[in-house]
Amino acid sequence: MDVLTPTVCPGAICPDLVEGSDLADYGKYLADESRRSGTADALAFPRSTAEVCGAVNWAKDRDLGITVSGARTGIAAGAVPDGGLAVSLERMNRVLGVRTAGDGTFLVRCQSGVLLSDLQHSVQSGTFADAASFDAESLAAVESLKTQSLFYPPDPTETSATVGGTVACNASGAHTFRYGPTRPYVHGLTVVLGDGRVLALERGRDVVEQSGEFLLATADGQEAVVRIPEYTWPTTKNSAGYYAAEGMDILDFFVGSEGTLGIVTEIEVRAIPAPEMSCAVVTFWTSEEQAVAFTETLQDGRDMLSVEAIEYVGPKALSMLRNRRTQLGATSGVPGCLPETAHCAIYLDVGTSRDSYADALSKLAGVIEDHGGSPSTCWSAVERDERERLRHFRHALPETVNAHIAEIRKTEPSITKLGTDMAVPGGRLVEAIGIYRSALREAGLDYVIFGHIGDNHLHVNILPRNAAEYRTGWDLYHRFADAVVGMGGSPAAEHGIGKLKTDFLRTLFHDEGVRQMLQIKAAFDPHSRLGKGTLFA
Amino acid sequence: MKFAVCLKQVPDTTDLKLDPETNTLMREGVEAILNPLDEFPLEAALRLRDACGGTVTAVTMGPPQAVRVLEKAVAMGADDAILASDRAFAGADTWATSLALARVLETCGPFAVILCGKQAIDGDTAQVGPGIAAHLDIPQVTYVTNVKWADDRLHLARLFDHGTATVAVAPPVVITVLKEANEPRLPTLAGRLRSLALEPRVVSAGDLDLVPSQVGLKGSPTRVVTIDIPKADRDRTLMTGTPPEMAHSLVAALRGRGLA
Repeated sequence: MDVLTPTVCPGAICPDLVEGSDLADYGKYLADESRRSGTADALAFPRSTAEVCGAVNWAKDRDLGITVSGARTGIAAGAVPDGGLAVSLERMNRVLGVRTAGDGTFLVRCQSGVLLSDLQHSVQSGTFADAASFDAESLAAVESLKTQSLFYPPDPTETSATVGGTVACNASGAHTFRYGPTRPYVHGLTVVLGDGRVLALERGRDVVEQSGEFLLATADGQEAVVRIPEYTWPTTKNSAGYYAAEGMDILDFFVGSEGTLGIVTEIEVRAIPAPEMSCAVVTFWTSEEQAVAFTETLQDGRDMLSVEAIEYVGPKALSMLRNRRTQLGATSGVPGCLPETAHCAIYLDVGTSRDSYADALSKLAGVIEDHGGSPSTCWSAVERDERERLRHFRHALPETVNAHIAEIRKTEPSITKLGTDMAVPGGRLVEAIGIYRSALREAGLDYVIFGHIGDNHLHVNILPRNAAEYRTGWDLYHRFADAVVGMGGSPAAEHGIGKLKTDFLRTLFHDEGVRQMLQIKAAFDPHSRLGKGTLFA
Repeated sequence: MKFAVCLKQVPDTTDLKLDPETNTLMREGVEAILNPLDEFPLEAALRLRDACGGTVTAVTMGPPQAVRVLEKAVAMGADDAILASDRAFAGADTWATSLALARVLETCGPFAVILCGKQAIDGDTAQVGPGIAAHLDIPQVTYVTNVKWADDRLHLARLFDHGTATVAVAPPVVITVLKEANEPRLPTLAGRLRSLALEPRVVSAGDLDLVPSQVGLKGSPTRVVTIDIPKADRDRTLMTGTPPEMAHSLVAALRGRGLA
């Protein structure tokens, strides 16, 4: 059995640190989009793997914990430090090189602080701001890439996230329905462990043996036998805890580990050929039952229909959008041609080859009619301006919900929106929606349901009107989590566990699963230096 | 009633670049789109048809790839489409363009109402709509912000700098429609499918009974000689001293230029 051997970084150098009273000017680095704020003894902005090693050594010498952050767009507080050294990777923003993978795909290597939107734009356009520093192989690969149409599939709504951040929480988005989450597109990682050693991992090369074990060289020169956890990983989308599966790649422990196993400094991702033709379609339905049945047909025929994304706008959500249109008119982002009879809507992206484009749209129109919808009222968007209008439409909902909550917070400042993040296995969608709706109705709570219905992953946004309803909402969220896990689903499908949902890790994996996860943590981060308070309370 | 909408394919100005040496548009790699100001007359035509029946025909003049704007019009709800395409049309100015379009509308018409956008975002002349009316020798109403059909007449609001005028006009008529008139609908899936099967009627200069001296560059009395980027040079004068002294200096400087 090969021994996985982290190396000591020869040129480790500690970057300049922000400490003491100077930290007062850096408050934003102690908070994230969860709106939770933390504390730190010092803050580092490394620019290289060697500087990350230096920063880790600095913390190790003082026995301090380390919390890593990227663009701090997470909403589960994983990037919020709980004392110790806060390491922001935002200055590690260089693309390092490109190579062809030989199967029509390309591998792009970047530092983890590169913005996802920048990476996606570079892959699509073939323009790399750092090309001047590329080697000959990379420059040749870029020339080849320019002649093709490629894309990097992970598409969380928050494109201002860093690539490292998306790896840390195994980000997913609307197109996960067709392309899966971030994990399969991560080909290689460079990771600085909590003891300052560096681990280079590559998919297909560094794998767990059939026995379910691997050997890891420890800092004192010993070999530790590490056994992968035995829990069953949900078949649904899941961003809770450490991935585990027979014969898994070792880098998959780090994808989705929320900065608790190591500091990912470099990432090699795979870009794949883009569909030649694409069309976004918004379908309208007179009942939720129709919309769900339509979704299930699309799920069953996903290959034939070339559907990339299926997103739901529930009845209350559509009603809020309709009101927004009435109040704000054309500036609302809600098109005036919203059909009056529409009760709820399903947004779709179709991506195909040129040859099968017309056939795919024609089949889709047939499925819509079969379910009682009308292709004559569905919106379709192909050109940039049309897509832009649909983007405004989709973004109008979270804006409306946030404005609604902001209004309530004027008199009830203690409340926030309660957004759930639960996915259920195929065939359990109707049951899950039924549980959500009946419990929320019984509790008399206001709410909207929308999101990634194609992945059976709907966001229930509970909109509490006062502190008592806020508490009731949290209680319901826990009840929903129990029910979803009972179905074989995940209570934390894409936002991660962070510091806010640590209860759910136990709900999903129980005490024994969490114990096995802690063993993995102990193997890679024996002094538990990384991500204090994240995943494990 | 038959409605015709004249459309133009233009470069997408969101990523438009000028050649720094020639000051001409760099069209290579620039996506071509439907002139954004043409969506408003198209929407106005569709609403008129939906209200009082009839058909909407989308018309464009351009190279074969200009069919894309006709497809978009059909996706939004136009019933049929005409593409005036002929190498002889190349280089046409607004006179030759409006003459060719007028002949297309005559040949394939008659149309009761011909709708145009105010202007195209690449040429910005606002001459083609009025030119069509002149060549057809029918009335024209420009800068329209509201369109209604009642009592066998179009009732139109025209926008001026300091107000609007209401005009009632009987067809046939050419109107140019402003963006204030409506909010264009999104294409539907059914429309998109129709657009994929679109086979527009294609007409050439010969079909329009136009001789070479009437079309394209030869038929154009105007030429674009150069295009210059407007220069906005500014003189900068720094006032110094106490605030009252600086205020006096400023007033004196403005007076010196006849500005105060």
